[in-house]
Amino acid sequence: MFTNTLAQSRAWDFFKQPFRVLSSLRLTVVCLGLAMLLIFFGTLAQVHLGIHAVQARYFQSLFVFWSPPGAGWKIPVLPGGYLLGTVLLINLIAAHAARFQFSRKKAGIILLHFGVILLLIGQLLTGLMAQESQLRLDEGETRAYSEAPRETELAVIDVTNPDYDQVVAIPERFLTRASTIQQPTLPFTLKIRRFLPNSQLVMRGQDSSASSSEATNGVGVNIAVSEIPRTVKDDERDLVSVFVEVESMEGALGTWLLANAISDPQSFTCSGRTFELVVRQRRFYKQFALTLLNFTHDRYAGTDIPKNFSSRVRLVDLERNENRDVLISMNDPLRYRGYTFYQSGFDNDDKTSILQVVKNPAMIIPYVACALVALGLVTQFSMHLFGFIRKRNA
Amino acid sequence: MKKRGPIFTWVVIAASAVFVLAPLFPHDPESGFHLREFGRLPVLLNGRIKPLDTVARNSLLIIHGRQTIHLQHGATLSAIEWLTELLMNPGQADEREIFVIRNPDTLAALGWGVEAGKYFSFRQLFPHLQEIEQQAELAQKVDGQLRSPFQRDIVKLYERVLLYHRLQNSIEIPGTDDFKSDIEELVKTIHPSTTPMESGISPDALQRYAFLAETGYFFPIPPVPPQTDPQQWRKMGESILSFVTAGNLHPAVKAYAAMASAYAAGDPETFNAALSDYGGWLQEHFAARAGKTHVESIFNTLQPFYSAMVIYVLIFILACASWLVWEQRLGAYAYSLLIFAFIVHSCGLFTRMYLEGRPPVTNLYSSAVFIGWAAVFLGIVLERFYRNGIGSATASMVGFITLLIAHHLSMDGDTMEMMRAVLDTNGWLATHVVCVTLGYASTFLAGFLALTYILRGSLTSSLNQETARSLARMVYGIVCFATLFSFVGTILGGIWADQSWGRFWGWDPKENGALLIVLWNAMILHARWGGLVKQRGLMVMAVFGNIVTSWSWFGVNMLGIGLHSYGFMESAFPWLIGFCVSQLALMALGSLPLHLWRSPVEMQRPTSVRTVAATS
Amino acid sequence: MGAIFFATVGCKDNSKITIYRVPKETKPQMADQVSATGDAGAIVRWKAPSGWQEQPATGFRKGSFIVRDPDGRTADISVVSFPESAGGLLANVNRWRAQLKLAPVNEIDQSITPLSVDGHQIFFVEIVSDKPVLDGGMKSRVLGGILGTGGETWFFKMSGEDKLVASQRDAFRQFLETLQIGRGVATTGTSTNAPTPPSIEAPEKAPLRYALPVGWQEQPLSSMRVGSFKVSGQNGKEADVSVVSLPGVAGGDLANVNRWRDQLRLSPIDANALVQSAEHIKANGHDFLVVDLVSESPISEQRDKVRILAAILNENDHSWFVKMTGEDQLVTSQKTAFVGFLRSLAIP
Repeated sequence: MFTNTLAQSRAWDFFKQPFRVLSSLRLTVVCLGLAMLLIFFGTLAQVHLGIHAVQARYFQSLFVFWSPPGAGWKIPVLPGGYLLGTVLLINLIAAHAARFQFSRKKAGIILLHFGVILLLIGQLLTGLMAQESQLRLDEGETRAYSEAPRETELAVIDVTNPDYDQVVAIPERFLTRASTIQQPTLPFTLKIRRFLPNSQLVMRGQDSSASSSEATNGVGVNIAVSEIPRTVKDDERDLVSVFVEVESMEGALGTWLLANAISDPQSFTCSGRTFELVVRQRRFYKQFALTLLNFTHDRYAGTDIPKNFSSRVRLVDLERNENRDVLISMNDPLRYRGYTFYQSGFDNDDKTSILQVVKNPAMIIPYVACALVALGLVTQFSMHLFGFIRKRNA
Repeated sequence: MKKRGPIFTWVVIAASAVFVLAPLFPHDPESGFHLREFGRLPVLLNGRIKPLDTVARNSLLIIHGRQTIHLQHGATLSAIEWLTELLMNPGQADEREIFVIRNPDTLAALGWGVEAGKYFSFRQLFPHLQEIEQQAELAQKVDGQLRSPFQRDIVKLYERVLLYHRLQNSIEIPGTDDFKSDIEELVKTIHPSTTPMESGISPDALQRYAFLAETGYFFPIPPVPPQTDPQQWRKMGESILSFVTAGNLHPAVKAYAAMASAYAAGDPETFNAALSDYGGWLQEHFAARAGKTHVESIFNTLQPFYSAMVIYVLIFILACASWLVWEQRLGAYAYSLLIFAFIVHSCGLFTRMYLEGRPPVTNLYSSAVFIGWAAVFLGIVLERFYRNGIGSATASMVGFITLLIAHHLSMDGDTMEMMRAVLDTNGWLATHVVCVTLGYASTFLAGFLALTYILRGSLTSSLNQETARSLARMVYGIVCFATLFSFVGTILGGIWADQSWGRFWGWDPKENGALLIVLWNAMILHARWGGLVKQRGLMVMAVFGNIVTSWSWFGVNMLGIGLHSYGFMESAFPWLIGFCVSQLALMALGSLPLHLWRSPVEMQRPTSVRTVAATS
Repeated sequence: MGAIFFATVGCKDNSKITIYRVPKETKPQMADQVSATGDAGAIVRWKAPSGWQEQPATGFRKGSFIVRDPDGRTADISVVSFPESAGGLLANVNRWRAQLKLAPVNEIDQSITPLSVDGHQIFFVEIVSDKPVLDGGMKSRVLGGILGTGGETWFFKMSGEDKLVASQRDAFRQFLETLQIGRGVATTGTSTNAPTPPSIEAPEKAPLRYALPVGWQEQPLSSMRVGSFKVSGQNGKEADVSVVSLPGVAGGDLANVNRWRDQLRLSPIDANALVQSAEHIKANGHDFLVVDLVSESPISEQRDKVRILAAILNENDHSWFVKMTGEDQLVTSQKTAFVGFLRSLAIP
């Protein structure tokens, strides 16, 4: 009905062939097949690349590229997750527009496909909007921020004021290239001299062969830095280091070596104010703080197999006048102000709790989608089943 | 149906029942010591309270590869007989040649040549313990997947020797002649004191019991009633030490000591008396526990899955034979036997659920058992509707193969292990895991139905149009079932992940594997609906489903990565490859031009979506 | 629709520079609890009593301390872990006994007491030497703790002069009681989300610098020695060379020489006799007091006469002792080498 009226228009003739292709079942089958290949090779690649690299390269990309070892060029060999997802989405919508009438008989399939559409959209939105970070708390420690496990930032902290610190947080992507960073609140510029995505730091003195350090101030003067390949293991972290030159109106103040292995900030003064420089895991500050009161870890008798673990935390939110104890355990997270805190792991002989912090506005979409799909499946197949039984008994 | 039919069916069933229940009635009487009763005593091990019989069987399986020891002259030593000997008369146990060493490098490391044989006793290994330990230590530094065969073998040998050593030190220290007297002596001379040195115990004895406490493998001493917390079970040494510091010797200590002395002295009456006294005490204070371990030891004896496996083979033969001759009669026998085997299989499954207190699928072993069970159930349904032997044949084949896989998986030890914290919720275990496993089971069944089609069609002339059409409908129906359950199961997994660590989908290998099954089943359906494949194409695609499912079920575990890496099966890898190759070969067979087929399967006319939907 | 896709896909990382204020952070306190990880992954923590000076933990040691008494004598405390049972309780106790020149024992006796600390069993050992075994004619006492836990054995040992160590017995017991023993790092769920922060490698401690004479073999250092050598001669004869550094005057030249004389069963001398019998060797701007002592008759275990060739250097409120002990003729033949060694020593 819809397509019939459309078919009458002249302009339609131009789009007919591509539209037919886009709405064909053949395209669906081809896309499903390609998806299977993508997933299979992506799974194999995880052994060597680690899950995060594979996610970025295979599933959150338009194409999967391959280059012969050593060559600088690369060719796309497979469509990536985003491309396949888009094509499937278009295919599904076009197929419905072209062929399906909204009849009761087709209700199941329509519901099902609509649920799939919603699922795909939801996953895309999650990929774009979700923020995952980690909160490590020692027993007794209070923190109002969580950290990105795989991303660093350069923090320039103005510690002059005795009551508070003013932080300028520069995400990692600004540090990767030699550039100059200028911020209106800072009386100096930061020149990124060299960035090493993964490095090895050794005290100078052992390595007499190294030339003098690029750093002129701070601990970097005594440290020799060498670049090493990025890690692919899931439980290892890259040691990011960067040489930063600070230049004020009076001229260059010096060059510092900053790295996430150097946890103590290095300070200098400029224009009568004191600043600290540090490279650390990227922080996401929140308007509330959590204190770890106690972490418990039960094991099965006589074994090391974990039975359950849980963290008792205190949630303090001055803005909303919250001050209460919460128990976070496996399968029982804390949901507060758009963040969800999951019990993820532990460390330090049961004295440190590690919470996974997730903020995902698109979180509800998979549930709605799944409900629709389930409904559609059940409807469709029960109709088939009853039809089948009726025919057999006839 | 002839009148004789039903009676003969019952005869067949009765014969099978006798076969299944036979292990309960052993033909050789116990030589005085009531070891079967001893095997029912509960102990705590690896977080679960189980009968000594389970400990015996699993330990012997690990060390020896079998649950019984074959002696000369055809005699056998059962697992519990061996364990009792090890616990209470270690001198004799040390002579039993039970350690399996096949790797020539391992033999060489111990200074033996290949002619030394395959089985060695602890006594023979004892002088070489230090070398074994050192070599194993070196090998353990290498990552598990990168070890050479020698390294794997020496590590295994070391683990077995360590297990043996720890078992030996679970009740008494080897070399104790009369444990009972030692304990009585202790009771007489000790004044319990919080500082052990002041209790009057000799430093030597103190050190020995401390050693016993540390080295012991299982925890035989129950908590003091009315405590029932499983965390409070104690090792023998621990219990004795706590007596030294706090008084109150646990009756179980006395009981085991009495049994140990009696066994060492060859005195069955005293042994049995102590045993039944202790049993009575347990009955009084731990009736529920004792009951459960009793059930478990019966379960161990009956070995229902092994029996079911054997019957499945019989069913398969009967069903295949029914295609050649006596179709109705043999078909009926096959069908009844199938139901009987299913009942046996179900009893095993439900008993496991009762013993563990968990939904049916908790680990790889139980997933294998469940896949077989679900496939057989579906096969029964199919057979009920079509009555052409195909349901029986395929179901029994899938049942047999999965139980065989399960049997091999059980060689690693206790199949009823405790669940790690993150997997610890019965709700999700019952829904997500069961759904996904049903998806596996049905995809396998569809694949094997398709195999029947291809094999019967190309190699025999028995695939007539009616059979072909009913097979096509069966496969289609099962694929629909598979799509439904694998999709729902995967979605539930996503929801569980979202609830537990905030991420609906993480591209974990096991998640990916499940998604592959969903996608493949969806592809089969869409290809069918679009007329892209006909009857034969459907079959070939369904066979490929076997490859996809075996990858998802087993293959991803072999990658050793991700959330789901709870098992590494080095030896299974060649079998997996072999299976996939065989399926590919059969797919090729199925794709041969029809004129090469022996059966008169007709060429299918292209069908439209509507026609297919109407006939399905 | 596709356009939105590509647009959003293109700029995935659109993080910006942000400016915000936070309250002052209290820097985390340096825990006065030290912890170390054994090879099998067990983590052991302890709290050192006041008066114990922490030393860099090098070599096999997971922890190292020194306690001094007013006379400048020191007792050394070490924390070491070895895999598995490391030979067993008896073997290790006998090892310590041998260090004190005591006969081995065949069974656990009253010198070994089991303690219960943090749910684990630690065997507390106390042994005293019969004879003087330390330089200066002092008896040596060892306090030990042996802890077996999950795949490895930890040794806590205090050794030093008899009275000093005896006075530290309570402190040592307390030290043992502060032990916390636990398992190592573990995580679950997805990938182990607990990567330990990377750290800078620490530099090695600079060793003693010297020119090694021909025929001298370097030996492992011990708590007292900053240099240790062995010289092998004919017929299996051996001489031992030690370099010890102590703060202050370490008792004074005369007392030390008399201590060595006592070891050779020679009668003590007075200051005048010392001045007359000793040599002075100047090297590298240092003034070494050198004495050459030989026993009058064969002493106990050795069937030969024993000679001690020793040099004392007092400089910068620090005392250095270089001492060669061994069979008479071997030591005599090594005198030139000994002097050459002194000359080559770079004293910091």
